[in-house]
Amino acid sequence: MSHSAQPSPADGDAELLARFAAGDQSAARELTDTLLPGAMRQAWRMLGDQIEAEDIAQEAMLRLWKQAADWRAGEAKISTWLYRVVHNLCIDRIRKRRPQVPVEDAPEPVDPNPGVLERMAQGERAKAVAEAIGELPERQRQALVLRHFEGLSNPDIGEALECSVEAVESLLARARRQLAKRMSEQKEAFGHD
Amino acid sequence: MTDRHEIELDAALDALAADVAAASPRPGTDVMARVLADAAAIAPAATAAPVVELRDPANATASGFSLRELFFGWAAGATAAATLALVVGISVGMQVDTGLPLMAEDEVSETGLFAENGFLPDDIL
Repeated sequence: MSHSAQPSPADGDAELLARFAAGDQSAARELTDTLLPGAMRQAWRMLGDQIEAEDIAQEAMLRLWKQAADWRAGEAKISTWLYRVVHNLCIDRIRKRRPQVPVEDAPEPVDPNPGVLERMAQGERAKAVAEAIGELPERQRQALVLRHFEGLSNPDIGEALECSVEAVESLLARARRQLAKRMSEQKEAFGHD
Repeated sequence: MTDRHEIELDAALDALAADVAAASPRPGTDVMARVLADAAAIAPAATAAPVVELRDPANATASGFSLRELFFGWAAGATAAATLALVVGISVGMQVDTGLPLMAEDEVSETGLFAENGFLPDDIL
């Protein structure tokens, strides 16, 4: 199974952050090289806009710099912490896009931007699965995306989604069943790339 | 879900993941520069620790002075002053006049003789 990105080594990230907190600017550059592409890719996938994705990624990294001196190594992986920050910033941005709806009446943004994956898909098979992913419940879609597009392990997904590994396994299993069902219904499109 | 469905699903997910990876924008130099500028702006607060000059342990003595300092540096002055004070003190001590007359050699032997026999002259007692 191929992934679009591999998570950065957690210990290496924590060590770099500690070096940055001690005043080593070269550590900031290394962390930026490692973490910024993933943060930006995630924001772009959720928002579908490159400029906004850059703003979100910059803001997330700024929060990381501010957190550096107080970072407690071993409690959380920096990559999953950053994922949560980017996710929350994107949700806030999506809510601001709909100012005409009162907050109490606004539905939970369960589907930040399902069309982005479909726009990225090239072949018919990829388009079909992208469309099916867009119809998944939010938690199942998040787990699937983190597993297949960000390459996170189940424990890391659990940390990012703040749930147990067993819950992640359940989310992934249900997501895959749902996808398989949808795709068998689209049998005509499936396998004709 | 059958094995065939599993394989087909994995193949479709892999194809989509490859498309996503190819289509995802990479951070441009401007956003990289902005992020690093943020880091530089935050960094001074994190570098409050004082800069400490490290001493080469190979040149340090047990007391913390290097040998060069001991013989040629400020420590040499302190060492010289302490040595001079010691010499002067000894010299003065040797020249102290107690004001008592020194005994002649015969007086000393006489005193020893009387002392051995259990009595001493009245002027000595």
